[in-house]
Amino acid sequence: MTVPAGDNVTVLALERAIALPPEHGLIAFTGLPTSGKTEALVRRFAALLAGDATLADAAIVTAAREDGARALAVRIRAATGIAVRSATLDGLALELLRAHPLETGLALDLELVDPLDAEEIFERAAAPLFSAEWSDWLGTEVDPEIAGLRTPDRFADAALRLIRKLRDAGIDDDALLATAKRGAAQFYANPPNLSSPALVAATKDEHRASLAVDALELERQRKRELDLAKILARLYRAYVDELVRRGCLTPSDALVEATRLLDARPAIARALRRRLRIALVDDAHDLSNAALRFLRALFGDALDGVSVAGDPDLATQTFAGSRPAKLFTRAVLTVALVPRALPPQIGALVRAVIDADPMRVLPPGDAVRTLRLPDRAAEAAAVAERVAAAIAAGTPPGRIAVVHRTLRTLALLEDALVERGIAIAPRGDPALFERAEVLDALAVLWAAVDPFRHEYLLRALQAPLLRLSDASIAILCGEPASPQPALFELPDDEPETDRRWDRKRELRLATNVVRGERDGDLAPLARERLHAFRERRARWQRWLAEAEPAAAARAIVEDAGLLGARAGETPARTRLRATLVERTLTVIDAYAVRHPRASLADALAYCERLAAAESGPEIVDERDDAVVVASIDRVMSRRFDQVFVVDARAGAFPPYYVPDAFLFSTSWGMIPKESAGDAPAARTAKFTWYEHNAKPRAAFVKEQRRLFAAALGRADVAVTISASGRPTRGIAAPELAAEIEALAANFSP
Amino acid sequence: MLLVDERRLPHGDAIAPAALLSRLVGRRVLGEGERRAIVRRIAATREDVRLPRHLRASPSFAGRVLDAIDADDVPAVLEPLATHVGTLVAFAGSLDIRGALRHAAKNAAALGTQTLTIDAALLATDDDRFAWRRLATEAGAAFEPVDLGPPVAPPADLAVVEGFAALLRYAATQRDADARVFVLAPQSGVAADDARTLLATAGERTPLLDVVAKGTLADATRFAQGLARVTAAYRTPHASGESVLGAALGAFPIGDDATRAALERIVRDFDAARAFAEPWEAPDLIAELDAELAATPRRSAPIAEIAPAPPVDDEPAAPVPIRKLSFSASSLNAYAECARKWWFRYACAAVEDRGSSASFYGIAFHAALEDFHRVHTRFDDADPRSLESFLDYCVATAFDRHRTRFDAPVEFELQKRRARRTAKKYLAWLLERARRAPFEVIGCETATDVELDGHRFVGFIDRLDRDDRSGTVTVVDYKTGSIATSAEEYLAEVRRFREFQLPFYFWARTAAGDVVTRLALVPLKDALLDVAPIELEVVMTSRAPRRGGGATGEIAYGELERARTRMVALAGELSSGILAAFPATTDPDACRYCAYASACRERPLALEERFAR
Repeated sequence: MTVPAGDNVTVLALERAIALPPEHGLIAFTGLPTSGKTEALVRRFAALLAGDATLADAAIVTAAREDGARALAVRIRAATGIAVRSATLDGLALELLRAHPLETGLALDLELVDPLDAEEIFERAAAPLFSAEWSDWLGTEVDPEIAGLRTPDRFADAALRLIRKLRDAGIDDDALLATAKRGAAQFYANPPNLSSPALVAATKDEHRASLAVDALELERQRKRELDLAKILARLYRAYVDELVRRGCLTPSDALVEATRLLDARPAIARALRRRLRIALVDDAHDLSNAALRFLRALFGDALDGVSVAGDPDLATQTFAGSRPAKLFTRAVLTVALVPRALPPQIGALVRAVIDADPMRVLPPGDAVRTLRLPDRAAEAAAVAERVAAAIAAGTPPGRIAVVHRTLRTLALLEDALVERGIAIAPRGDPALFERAEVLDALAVLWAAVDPFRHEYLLRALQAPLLRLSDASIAILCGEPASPQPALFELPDDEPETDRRWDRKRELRLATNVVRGERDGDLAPLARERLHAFRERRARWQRWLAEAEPAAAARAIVEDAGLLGARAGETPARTRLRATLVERTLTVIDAYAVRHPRASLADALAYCERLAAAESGPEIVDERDDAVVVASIDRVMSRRFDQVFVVDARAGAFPPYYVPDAFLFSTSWGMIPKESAGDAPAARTAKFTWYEHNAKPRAAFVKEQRRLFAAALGRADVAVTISASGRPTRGIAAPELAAEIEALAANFSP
Repeated sequence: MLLVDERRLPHGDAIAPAALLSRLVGRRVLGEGERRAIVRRIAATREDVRLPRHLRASPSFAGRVLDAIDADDVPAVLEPLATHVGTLVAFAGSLDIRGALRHAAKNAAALGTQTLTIDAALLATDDDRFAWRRLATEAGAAFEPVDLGPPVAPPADLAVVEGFAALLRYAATQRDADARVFVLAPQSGVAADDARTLLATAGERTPLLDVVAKGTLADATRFAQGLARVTAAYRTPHASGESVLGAALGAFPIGDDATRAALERIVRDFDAARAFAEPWEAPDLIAELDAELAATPRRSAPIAEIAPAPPVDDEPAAPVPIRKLSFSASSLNAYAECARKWWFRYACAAVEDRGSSASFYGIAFHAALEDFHRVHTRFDDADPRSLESFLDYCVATAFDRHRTRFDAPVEFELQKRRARRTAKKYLAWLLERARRAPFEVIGCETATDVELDGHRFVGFIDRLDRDDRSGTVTVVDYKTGSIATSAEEYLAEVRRFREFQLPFYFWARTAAGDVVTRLALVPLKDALLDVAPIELEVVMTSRAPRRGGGATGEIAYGELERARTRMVALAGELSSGILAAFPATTDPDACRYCAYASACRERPLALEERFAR
């Protein structure tokens, strides 16, 4: 039953829902931001405790994200005085697995790993496919000429993304293969009309050739598709085997394995159910598929005892695999709440963005502001000026947020803020290993452990520790007039052709820096700095030999002076540098904990692998004395006076949707994008047809709109939407800032 | 007398319970480490135990099994294993600590101490506590538990342990990779910087010991001899863990007592457990190290002498010495794109641009076409099938020569197939071109070395064609990556002085006496598309380019002159000896695939992530 919005009815429905007994079935509180969903959860918990105080120890207090779960626990404590333990469902899942080590079928010593580490595990699993043994691994009946495999790195990324979604959805490798076969049979046995006018008209000129296929070509594509499915299924199996073998589980894997355990061992599920009687779940629209299945394994299909807060219209993880409809449609009672504290103008804007309604009339007010500047630098400067003005006008910095879909592209904005002396608290993935401050730290660390990593040594020579001139560095790269005898002779030239690189170059710079062979050619100042560097480096090497790697790394970075204030820079800049370098050191630290026998060089090599990935380690700076600069998903549990949603233009927010080399559908199986082998066109017919039929790009844009709306909904006073350049026509991706500029012109009189 | 969990040893004068009880009962008493080793050996070697490998390999496996056996609460899945352990230990006439405690009370008087101080970790259950207290009482000694924390080994130098594991692997397989790991271990005897020099000298492909053999470093020679000694010890019939460890310690002494003691204890227990399952391999002992040392903390000395370096100003700029005084089109293109990149590549030349799969594809394809055109220079009356067959052969062999450059063998295979398909398209274009206007290939990979206004320019021209009718020459450049999509786009790059390749080739061949009338870029990237070159006809006065991006166009002699003037000016600038600073580009796109991105402190911020999946 869904209770419609409407003041009196809603209040009555809300009170009734709060007062219902625990075993009433799933209760959902929905509504836009500030509608009181979380508060309803808190009140329901208080009401349940009033009836049965023992429920305090029998409750799961959780949310889709860790910070949301913590925020919910804090509010419960504030309202009831009871300190409940918040936990994400994956944390509970891991606890459960650890409590039943032999029953899980997994390794006995389980470890929760970051999804970034899981990429390493996947690399190991996929290694045979990319090794010299690939033909043995695939067998003779599978041809590797499949969509995407010509660029193995990207193929592996896409495969892992798919495998994670399949794991989340409870589809195992056998089911993947079976679904792929069924989907292929369904499509190729009775192909749709590929010359339908609607399909042809909707297909871009460059892809129309993909629809001009005959039966032979379709049969060829079917075979390629099935080989793709077989290879993916093998990779999937290898990945799971590797996880099982090593006992390394990502949060999602923990949920999947715990669900499997509960399904296979009803006695364990029953015992747990006796212990855990209620669950309160905030931001439930973003619960992963795996989390939802775990919740059902715990509380049964009806989710008896579960109360959730969220709204499918706010879901931002559907592309990652969450399916909020599967949760909210199970509710026996849904109370739809209306926003209360959100300024009406922002509330209307949130709705208009979600509904993609350009004609919506906004109520009057100045809570919605827009900025359009000629370029990104000007945009960053303008936003920074506005932020400075807001602070000057009395808004505490911690009540201001500058957000975007990702933190990876906000460095320019961060610069503009810190240059004005505005301290920032970054939250999200800052593209850590692209940052100059972090690369300086890595350069110094590499110089300590392996000076032959010349790309880093070159950087270290330019970094604040030495600041050598281009001329001095070039001299250090050159051969001395009378070199000392080499410790080892270079091997003879390798047999391959076209190698124009002089191998001596791989030794010269480090040898000159470490052994001082060109000191005599340097200017006195450079020579003096290099001597001092060698002395420091000798000390660093001693630390590396005697201390554990993470401690040595920390000491080296500090000793190199990378954390101190520099002349002419603002304290905000110094603070940001310290934040970024500190995060790097925690990455090294975490690696050292997981690999206690590894060296610092191993940890640095790990950082390099992370740097090559599409996403990297996140920063969550929780200090509230600074302007929050964040990716939107990292501020979902917080509210601000002023929110700046920046770079809201097509190709930035939302980005252009580019599907992976293959998609998967439970109805149609594998849908390879690129037509591999002797193909007449670049794309497969099935992909062109599927793109028209299922419209994945439209779904992607819709989710990006919800994410944008979620950012707008964080503001209690005003939102500013900024963009740069001239808007496009918004065909490949919508121009959200332009839409809002138009909506802002629609103020009701 | 202090009794401690044996993992804590050495711990002052403390002794292990098994050692004490063995003395009291006059029989062999198995220590806990030995029991764990026995569990692991039996689990690994008895087929009927049937436990998955990942379960057995878990560090806590043996401890959990023993806990279950001691608590008499063995899960069904572990029953066969527990039965074997019980039976085999009983047949060996040994006692475990609990069994020994039952017998020891009779000889308690031999304890010979006034106080029995005992590690609380040995008193995990009430039964244990009762048995030890009873022993003390029988001996008339005071009983004094002491809390020493969790029962783990004292902090060890885990880098040494990792080194020993690598050494074992090397002894078993003589794999170069293991020698490379071990040379970096603290006990290898090779100083850290020397070891790095050794690795850098060997590069990725030369075996480490080959380089050592040609070197002059005594430490490295001793290292190689040590490897041989340990390998020989491992290969000795009836080698034991102790004999191999002994050889390892002899060749590569370990300074840290705690680490050495931990290794000796584990190896001793391992050897004892081999009585229950004799054959062993290096991985068995490594697994033992992994399991027994999983919780061992890493030894770490405090760091107290940190003295943060004060920030310094930039060293005053000075003219950069330029070693290279000849210029190629790609060096000028690099300078035009980003002066800093030029500095890294040509002035420093300390980092190899290792290229990418795309560049290796290009190198192999160029080599294939060179091989092909060395044999076939005319196509007007050639047999297409034999040409196709030969070109396919050239492609296959050229790719095979470059096989090792690709990251993944499967990638190599797929790129080769792509090249073979593209080659068919290339041949079709070649034949059609010859049919329309017969020509002869007069050069491929032609070296050019020309002096323009006092500056030397060098390069290689992919192919030169001479037209049969006019005798004029076409300069052909193969492009296996992304190229301009129209003649107009390419011309725009030439006019912006971002592209010097074809203008340079024009002037080089003109200087060589050719009449060059056409410049062509031949795209060889996409196997699905027919080959359609971008062609520029050299004219005195060019017409306005066609709108809409045609593949053919004109380039005026004057434009080539301007490009030449700019080339000479750039060469003059670079060889002037006065350049002191090389600023980075302001375009972040130029940095996307730059080999010097990590080295460059001046590159612009990456701003865009335009695509999502």
